[in-house]
Amino acid sequence: MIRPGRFGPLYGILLFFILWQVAAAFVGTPLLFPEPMDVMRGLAYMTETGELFEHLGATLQRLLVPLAVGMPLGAVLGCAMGASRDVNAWFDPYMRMANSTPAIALIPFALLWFGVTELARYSLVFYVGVYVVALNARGGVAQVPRLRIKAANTLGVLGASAFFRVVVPSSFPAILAGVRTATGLCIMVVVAAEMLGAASGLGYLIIRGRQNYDPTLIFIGIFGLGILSILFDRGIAFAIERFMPRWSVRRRV
Amino acid sequence: MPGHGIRRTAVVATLSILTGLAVWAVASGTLVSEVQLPHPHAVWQEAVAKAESGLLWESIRISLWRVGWGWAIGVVAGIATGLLLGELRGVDAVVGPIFEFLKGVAPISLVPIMILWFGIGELPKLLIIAYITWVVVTVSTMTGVREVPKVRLRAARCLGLSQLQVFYRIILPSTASYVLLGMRNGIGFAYIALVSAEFIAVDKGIGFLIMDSRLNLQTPLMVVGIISLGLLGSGSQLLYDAITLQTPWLSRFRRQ
Amino acid sequence: MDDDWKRLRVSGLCKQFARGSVILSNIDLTVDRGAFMCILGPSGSGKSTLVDLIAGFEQPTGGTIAFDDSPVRGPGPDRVVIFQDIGNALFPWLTVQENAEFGLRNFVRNRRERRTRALEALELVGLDKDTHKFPSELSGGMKQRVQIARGLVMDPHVLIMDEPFAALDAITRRRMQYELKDLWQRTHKTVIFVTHDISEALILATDVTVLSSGPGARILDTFRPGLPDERDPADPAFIAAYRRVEALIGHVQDAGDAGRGEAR
Ligand SMILES: Nc1ncnc2c1ncn2[C@@H]1O[C@H](COP(=O)(O)OP(=O)(O)O)[C@@H](O)[C@H]1O
Ligand SMILES: [Mg+2]
Repeated sequence: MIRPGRFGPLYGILLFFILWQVAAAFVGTPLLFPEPMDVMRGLAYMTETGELFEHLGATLQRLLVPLAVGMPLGAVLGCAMGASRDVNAWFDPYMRMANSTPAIALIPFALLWFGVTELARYSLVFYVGVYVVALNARGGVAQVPRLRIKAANTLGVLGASAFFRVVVPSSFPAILAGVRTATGLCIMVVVAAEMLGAASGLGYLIIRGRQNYDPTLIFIGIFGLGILSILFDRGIAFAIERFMPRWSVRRRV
Repeated sequence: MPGHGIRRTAVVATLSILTGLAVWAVASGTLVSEVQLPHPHAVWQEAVAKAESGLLWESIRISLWRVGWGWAIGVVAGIATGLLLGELRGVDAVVGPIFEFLKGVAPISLVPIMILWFGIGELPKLLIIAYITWVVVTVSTMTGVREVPKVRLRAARCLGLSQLQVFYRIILPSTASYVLLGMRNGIGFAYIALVSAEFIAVDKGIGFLIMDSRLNLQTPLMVVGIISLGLLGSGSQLLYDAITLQTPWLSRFRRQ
Repeated sequence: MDDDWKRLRVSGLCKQFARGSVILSNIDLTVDRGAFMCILGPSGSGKSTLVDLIAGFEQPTGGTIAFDDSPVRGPGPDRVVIFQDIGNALFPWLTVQENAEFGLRNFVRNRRERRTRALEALELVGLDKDTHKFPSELSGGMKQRVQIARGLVMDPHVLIMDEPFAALDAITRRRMQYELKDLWQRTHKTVIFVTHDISEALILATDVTVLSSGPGARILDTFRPGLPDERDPADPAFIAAYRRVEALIGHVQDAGDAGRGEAR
């Protein structure tokens, strides 16, 4: 029986580094498997020179700009699909295609269309943001309890008014879940796109590390990626609790 | 909404697909160059040609082999890890963040280091696919074990089940639905990993086909590759659903 | 809608769902203005279906529902329903105050007026101290009070309550019954109250209608219990009324046990 209490995650981080150190010591060749300290030193150096923030910023920008446009659009599309069977029937075939094809497979296509530009990466993230949030929003609308709509109707709130005041807010938690899924997927897409053609970003760091036979740099990229994903996921959850108390998980009756 | 039938839905969906094809056909060569957007007919011809030459089937065979074995290894490892970590109560708070971290590490970012470690054979590709499947299935299995209702465990103890019996007669079946869900999510991630590995560690497979056709500006082949990948992905999930939903002793765990 | 209505009249009402069996057959019901009408019936007899018809959620297969001579059409705030399912009836993302104001948004332009009217209703149910809480922070009884306030705000002709206290624990349920009775005596709202609990009906009702068990439920009896304002379940008159209803329903249950065991 282990009682980690509120420091559980801290023990987790500690355990993570211990495991890493042990594995590195076991391999014994820093040129193949750098130790945590090597990576931390590298990180510290890159922080000093500001290079780290440059690459982190590039990745973040590629993530946030297109998502900020794509996700609201996806939410609107998904709600419309949930509201009308015709709209749903029209877009459903494309949603299925999008959902069954790994977005990463589309990177060469985007590069072909837009060249190795920011636009190529933006368009991919935008596309993922739209379809993932749309699918979640549609699911959310489909799962609104019928009684909630009846409750609005009996108070004289009917039709479109009931849709916007009850159905859309009811599916908001599903939309937020979609936002988290979309962000997670888009981090993968951005990094892949950066590895296949970019001059900045975490994915670029990994590729540069490979070309220079510098495993420490590869590890910095991987490490940064994992941390970025956690920060994003936790950050969204925290932001909902902190700034959107109505939508906090605890509020769901 | 009344008055709408399945038939109407089918008509609208068909109309939508036909419109999409028509827009594609018209835009190709007029709005967009044929290099960027080949005509649907050219894509079809390319598919037929590559099917006849055997290249398409060979690529599909290799990719399926990788994704199948990688996924299977990841699933077995994931169930084992998940059950072990889930059973050690209190451990999840410690290892939870580690798996959160691992889940956030895109498979593609591991490709260079895997090549550095294991060369460019099949092993690094299998490992990358197995790795992400392992993470997904572990997390899901761990959640399943943690969510077994306490009452159910108490009921089992009241009925006189031993520790071991509690494990395989209560915990295993209670966790099964989570495991099956994790395995299904794992399919999607396994395909992401497959493409990632084949994009960078270049030799054969559908992902390689797509990447290679980009360098040679053979766009029809690229589209054939992307569509094949989509069909394989959805086909795998359909197959998985069919198997798990049709097998009586599995399907009971998919309804929960 | 005529504000000087005298009675709500349901006549010859029938309901059959598409390709299903007949749920209600030939229901006649008259609810006078200011009355507290309890509709008593076993589970699955079609009480909620009757509520859905009066509220306008469902269209009858035959028969009419009218305030005096003007038939009701579709759901509307003149016939507000209070639902049993407290988990879904309130909007979890809105505070108590916002829930109470929900229906007013479409009818009252002035924000201040909406606020004061909602607050008045919340005061009536004793919730004016909890206006900023969310439904998830309330007990079952409090949630049901919010729902009642949210209905009262609309100043409906009739308040239709579908087993509103059935999900509450026995002690809370009894307290809510007396509170509702008190509320009714102060406001003299017309109430249609659906229940399967005989003593609940006898504590509250001015008029009682007993439904037979389904399918094809019909009215077994309609009567005025003729009990004093202060109802006491130990009062011999109360017990006599109780026995009378029990005999009616017991008779039905012997005839068809198939309708029981259904919970919705
Ligand atoms: N939409 C519907 N379609 C078909 N049958 C229904 C529908 N709604 C209710 N029923 C049936 O009508 C009967 C009465 O249900 P209900 O009105 O909920 O009873 P009560 O509220 O008295 O328990 C039940 O047998 C139920 O299965
Ligand atoms: Mg009912």
